[in-house]
Amino acid sequence: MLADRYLAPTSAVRSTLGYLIVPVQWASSIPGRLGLWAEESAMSHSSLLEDNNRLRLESLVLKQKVQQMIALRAENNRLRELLNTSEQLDDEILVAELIGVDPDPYTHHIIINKGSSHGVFVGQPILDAQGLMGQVIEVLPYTSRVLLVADSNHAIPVQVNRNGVRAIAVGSGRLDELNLIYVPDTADIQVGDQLVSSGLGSRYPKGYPLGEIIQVEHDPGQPFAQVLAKPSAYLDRSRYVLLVFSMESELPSVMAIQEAPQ
Amino acid sequence: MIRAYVVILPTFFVALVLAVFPMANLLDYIRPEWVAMTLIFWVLVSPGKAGIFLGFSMGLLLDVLHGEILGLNALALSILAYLCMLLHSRMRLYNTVQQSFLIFVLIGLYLLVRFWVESIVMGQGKSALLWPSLGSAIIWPLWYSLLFSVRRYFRA
Repeated sequence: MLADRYLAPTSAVRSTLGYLIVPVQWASSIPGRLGLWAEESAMSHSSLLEDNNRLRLESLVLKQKVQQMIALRAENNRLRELLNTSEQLDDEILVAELIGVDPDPYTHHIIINKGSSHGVFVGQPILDAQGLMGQVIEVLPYTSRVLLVADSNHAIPVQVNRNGVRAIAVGSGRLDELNLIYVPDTADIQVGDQLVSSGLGSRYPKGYPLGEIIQVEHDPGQPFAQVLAKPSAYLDRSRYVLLVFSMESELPSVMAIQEAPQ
Repeated sequence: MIRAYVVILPTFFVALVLAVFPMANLLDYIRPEWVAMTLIFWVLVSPGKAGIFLGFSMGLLLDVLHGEILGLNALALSILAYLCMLLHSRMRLYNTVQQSFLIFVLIGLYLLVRFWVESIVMGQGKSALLWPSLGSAIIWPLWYSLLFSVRRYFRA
């Protein structure tokens, strides 16, 4: 056990055993998938048509936004070039399906159906359609384990979207709450502010939404303000998640600054 | 011998599935230790076939399944198997209620070993000892009779 904690080679044993575990995980996810299948097959023709129409409209709107995005990104990159910072690249994503939730009620881990054979790596950020969900902490051949942002062992550097005030969001152990720690009483943070990942710590890419401030409390007896945020990702509901292969190098590297003409 | 394992291993498969099966939030706190209970059963009824090695290998699988440090459950289940081998002749004479009580103690010990080792290695452990043991003790008569009829049906 000490070997597992401090040595690397046991990960080979782990991934070999991981092959044996695959049928167990598969079997434990049967009822969920069965429910989904039943729901899909019981849908009426008209509601499917309705869905289809709605999605078509949505896709049209999104396409229009993408057109704008292209121009804006080009402009942004040109401005970045002027500032001598590195170019912002698109993140590549991979869609994964949630196949299990850790049975331990004191941790918030989920199991997804993509693993090292799909290129998943430890530390990879996970999103759903609403915002950041967490990061990969263990990779097996066909599955991997994700630590959710609400786990009490998880912390993420964030900034307020409105004014760029930086803070650290720590999981509270409850799925609907995050604590912002070390926030000075004078910091300009208000209820309703959006939090986005700041990209500091170079684990999460910059600019993905994390949550919304729901409570700010100034207690004169405490050295810091007590700030609570609500995660925007559906941590307990999302079935499909996105694995981000981050391509951007956000911070201008030291080399680039040195090479820049004075 | 091989015939026995053809029956034993599928029951462990079911136990492993039950160990990670998604359950309602409150039920999660008293989730019985299915794998440990299955191990106790097999050591109880056929100590010649099931033993420490079986406990060790199932423990390794459980470790990978739960994403815990490798060897944690393996050690705890090996110790549990050893304890059961010491106790099995006495335990067979007990009635259901007495057996359930013993299961409560055994599962509690298993969780305690796990907690100790985890807190030594990781610096912190999951301290849920009481409720899972209680859940196991409650479900034991049912699980016992189920496994017993499986065993008799397949004459393992």
